[in-house]
Amino acid sequence: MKRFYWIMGGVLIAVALAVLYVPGVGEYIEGTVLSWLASLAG
Amino acid sequence: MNIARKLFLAIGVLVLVLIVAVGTLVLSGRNSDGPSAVFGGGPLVAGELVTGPEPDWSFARDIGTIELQLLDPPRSRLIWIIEHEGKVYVASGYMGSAIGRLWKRWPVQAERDGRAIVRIAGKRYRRTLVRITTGAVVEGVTEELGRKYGYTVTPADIEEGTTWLFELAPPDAAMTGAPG
Repeated sequence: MKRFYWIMGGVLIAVALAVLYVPGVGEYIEGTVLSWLASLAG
Repeated sequence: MNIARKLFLAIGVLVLVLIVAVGTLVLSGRNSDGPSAVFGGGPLVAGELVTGPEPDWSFARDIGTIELQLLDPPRSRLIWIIEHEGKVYVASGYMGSAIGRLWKRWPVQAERDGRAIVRIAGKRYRRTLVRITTGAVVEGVTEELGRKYGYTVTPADIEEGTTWLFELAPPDAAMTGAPG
């Protein structure tokens, strides 16, 4: 179980770094959130 | 490990990944020059700072959204703009509920300190947000809100505070000014 927590920590750090530095990832998430909000409003 | 626990764990991991991804975007956006389509941004830095006499705001009729930044706190967001009789206004809905007020904190902050910068079509303007609740102008602005954005709001909504209306007054205007 301890190993699982380490892996999860690594995954979450990788996600944060990807959002910050990988081109297009942030835009993709924003687009997804925007379409989700639009569907809620519609 | 039984199946239910594995499923619970997988959902938990997925939710955590989503929270971290969105949280990273929100936090990184606070340092960016202006807001994105979804998340708020930091101070408006780029763009010519327009000074001098009051601009002819009629061009704002064709502008969908503007960037609005308060000086305190220095965070920015996208917002609708309404031009009426040579003056410009912004509005905030959902102010009648506790959830709305929790979601939209800028109107309360603007009422406390209305100093602001707006960026419209790449140019920045210093303004003072002056809240308006009554007066002849409210009817015209609410009609324009409906015409331009299809947002139905009545002067009674403005007076009751379910929608807050602010004039983007000149920078030297009194923040507790009378209705325009």
